[in-house]
This record gives sequence, C-alpha cells and structure tokens, in this order.
Amino acid sequence: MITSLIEQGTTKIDLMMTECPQPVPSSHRYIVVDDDRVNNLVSKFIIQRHNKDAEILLLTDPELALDEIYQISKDAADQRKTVIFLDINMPLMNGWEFLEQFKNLEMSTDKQFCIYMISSSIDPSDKIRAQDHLLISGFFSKPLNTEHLKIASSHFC
Amino acid sequence: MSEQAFSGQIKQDLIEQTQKDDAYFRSIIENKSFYIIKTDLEGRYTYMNPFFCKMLSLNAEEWLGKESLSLIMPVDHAICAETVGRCFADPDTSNWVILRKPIPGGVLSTQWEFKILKDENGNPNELLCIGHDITPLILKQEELRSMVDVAAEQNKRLVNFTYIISHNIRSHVANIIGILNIREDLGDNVLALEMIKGSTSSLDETLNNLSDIISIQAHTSLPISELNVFHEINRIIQSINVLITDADTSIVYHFDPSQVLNTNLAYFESIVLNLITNALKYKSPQRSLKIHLDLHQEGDYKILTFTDNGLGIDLEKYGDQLFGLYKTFHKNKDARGLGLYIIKTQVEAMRGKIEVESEIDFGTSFKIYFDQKLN
Repeated sequence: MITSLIEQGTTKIDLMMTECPQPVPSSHRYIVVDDDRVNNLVSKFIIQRHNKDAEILLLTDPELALDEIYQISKDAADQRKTVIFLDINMPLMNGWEFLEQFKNLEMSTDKQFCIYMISSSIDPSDKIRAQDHLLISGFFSKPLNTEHLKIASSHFC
Repeated sequence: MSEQAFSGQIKQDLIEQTQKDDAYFRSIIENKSFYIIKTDLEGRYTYMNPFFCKMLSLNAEEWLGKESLSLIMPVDHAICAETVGRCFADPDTSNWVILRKPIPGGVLSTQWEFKILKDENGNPNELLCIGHDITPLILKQEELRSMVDVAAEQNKRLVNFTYIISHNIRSHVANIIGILNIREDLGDNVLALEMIKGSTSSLDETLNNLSDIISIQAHTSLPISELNVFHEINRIIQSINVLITDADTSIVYHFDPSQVLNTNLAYFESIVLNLITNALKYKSPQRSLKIHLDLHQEGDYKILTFTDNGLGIDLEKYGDQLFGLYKTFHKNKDARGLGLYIIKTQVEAMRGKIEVESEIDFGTSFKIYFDQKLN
C-alpha cells in the first residue's frame, strides 16, 4: 500500500518531467565519488531505482574519478549529462580539494557536469560552504534517496 | 573679662581648634588605605604619605624632589602623562587612572584620582594624587578572564568534537539506513544482513574509541611518577617485539640510560606505542626502518624526540589535519585516524605539547614536550 503510494508520487513527478522539452533520463550518467563502499552500493541501487538504464560509475579514489571525468569531457561525441555525487570526508583528497582539481581540469564542456555534495556530516559549516560554492548544485545528507535523485535530475530541465 | 583677656581666649580657642583640625587632617593623611602624594608641575614628588612609603618600601626623604614616573611601570607612562594632561586642560576637574608600580617581588596595581592644586592667585602649582591598591581585584579579574578563556576553548573543542562524533556515528547509521532502503532491490537478505552487521560493528568501534577519548579529556588529576625512559621504552618495545623483528627495525638511543622523566606512565606507554606502530605502518619499502630516540631538557620541559626514516608526510598539505580525529593520509588499510589524535589529547592533558617535522620519502620527527613541573 505504502509502496504503491510512493510509486504514484513518482509517476506524478515523472509526468511533470515529461513536460520538460529535453530530458531523456536514460541518457544520464551518474558518478559517485566516495571512499565508503557500502555507501556506494546503496547509492547504486537508489540510482537504479530512479533510472534503471542510467550509467553508474562508483569510484572510491578521487584521483581516478578526476581522470575519468577528464576522459569523459574530452569525448566530443559524448554530450550526455553527468551527475556527480561527491563525498566530503575522504582520506588523501577530500571533497573540497576534489573541487579545486576539478576546476583546473580545463574542460570545454563543464556544463554537462552537475555536482552534488553528499555527506553524513551535520556540521553546518559544510552545508553553508556547499551552498556558497559555485560548482555545487546542492548538498544531500547520506544516505542518498530517491527524493535526492528527483532533485538532481530536475536540475537538467 | 578685659579686652586683652578676651583676645587671649580667642587665640587659645584658635590654637585648640587648629590643633584639633591638625589631628583630624593628620588622621586622614596617615590613614592605612589611601596613598596621598603631591608632585610639582614637573612631576617631582613634593609629598608622600606614610602609607604610600610603607607599601612601596621607600623613604620619603630620599624620594622627595625625584621623578614620580620612575615609580611607575614604563608601560603605564603614556597613560599617566595623558591623565596629567587632562588635569591641566581642565584644572577644576579630577581625573582617574590605573597605574602599575614595581614593588620588591612583583607589581602593585593602583587606582588614582589626580587633581590640580592652585596657589593663592589661582594658578596651578601642584598635583594632588590620591590612590589605593586594587591588586587583589586585578588578580581576580585576570583569574576570571583566564577561566573564561579556558571555558571558551573547551566549548569550542566540544562543538568541534560533537560534529566529529556525529559525522562518524552518522556515517555508519546512514549506511544501515541505506542498506535497509535498498534491501528489496538487492534481493539478497543474507548480503544485506552481512553489511548491516559490518556497519553495526564499525559503529560499536567508533563509540568505544570516542569513549576512550572522552575519558582522557575528562581526567583532571593524573597520577604522575618518575620513570626511567630507557627502561620503559625498552619494555614497550619488548611487548611488540614480533612486529619489530618482522619489519627489520633498529632503534637507536641518543640519551643516557639513567635519564628519568616525570609523567603519567599509562599515557607515556600509549604515546610511545602509538609512535612506534605509526613508524612501522608508514615505513619506506625501500629501506629498513631506523628509529632514533633523543631526550633533552629545555626549561621546565623534557623533550622526547622520535625520528624515523619512513615515508614522511606532506605537512604543507596535511599539517593542520595531521592530529585531527579520523584523518588518514596514506593509502594504508590499517589506518584509522585515531593514534595521533589520542597522543595529542594525552600530551595536552599533561600540559605538554607535540610538534612534527617531516619530509616526504625521508622521514618524520615528532617532538613531545613533557612538563616536569607537573605533579
């Protein structure tokens, strides 16, 4: 019963989204950058629930994630929208440092990337910093859920 | 009564009255609470009351005619001059100032009222200064201020700690919630349970770690004893001998084996053990591990220096986070980000400090300061 209610809700939102001229959800790509593997698995299933055809990359190493993003940006034929879910607290390179490197990637088409911070942090300074950051579209508290996914995909309309 | 006798009576009355007044004013001037001094227009003493002389342990005869500024701490010369200036600007008004005075074995804080005295023609000719001791008040004020500082610092740490705790507890809880959310999609209850089990034991470990840390910070009186540094370090190394032999490690002592240290034994053990295991964890694969230990005294502190030839760490990048809780900087699976935080907490609980120097692929050096006045 509850499940069917949620599904109805989802349908409504999907209907609203079909009014948007562009989005073809299946063409979305999602990259999750987080050192926590359990969280990555959770994120993967949640993304699949929202969009079962999405391409999903789970990366525990921020350096590798930057490489991957750079490769994607260089491929001129690939104009798919990419949502990046970025963890804040990671060893070696945290989310903020990742953003600094991301900024320096010299990408011609940085508009196809949309970055959301994900964190279990309740430190208000993290949230404010995310809101103020030019590259960040939003801040989500872990675990990722379908509401977050709806917000993230509506951003592409 | 004859006229002469009458005027004699008046004279007698006047003398008596004058004597009475004299005793009255003398009792004021010779009080045991207020300093009364006068200076000429150049600031040289023209009068000092006995109480002032007594409190500053000086002889009035020696000091009359001398510079009053020389009995004021140099830091307060400017404010004193400014107050005198205000008196001259408006000779009918008193001005107040707090001045510190050097006395044998310390400093006296005194509060003064300055007022211009005039001659019979109405021209300023002297400065009257009435003051009293406010040292106990100032000391209390300083004590209060330092208590407020300590409380503010503790509060800051508490807030910070709360965020760290909540983040580290929340990260496991978020995982458990997440796993429960995706359980159906996962289609494998055994796997879901395994993952929940993993997150639950991580959560349990986090809670245990945090309770350890809180108990260090809560300790206000630590038992301090004198220990032989060489023997204690040797004993600690024996306890992890297996690790050390496996890693082909040598430890070089650069201090006299008879050297002693006043410290808390349990904390000392924890500090040495953490530093040695850190050195083992982050040894260079290119060379066998060498640890140099040095001990020397600087003022009230004995400093234990612990130098390895390991991987080193980029302090420019990680320096401000190095002693942070749950911060790890190498791709090492054993790293939990707890050791250095605990060491720092323990060192600070003993009123000491810890410093670090490091060079990548050359080694790291930790300096631990042990307060020897601690009891």
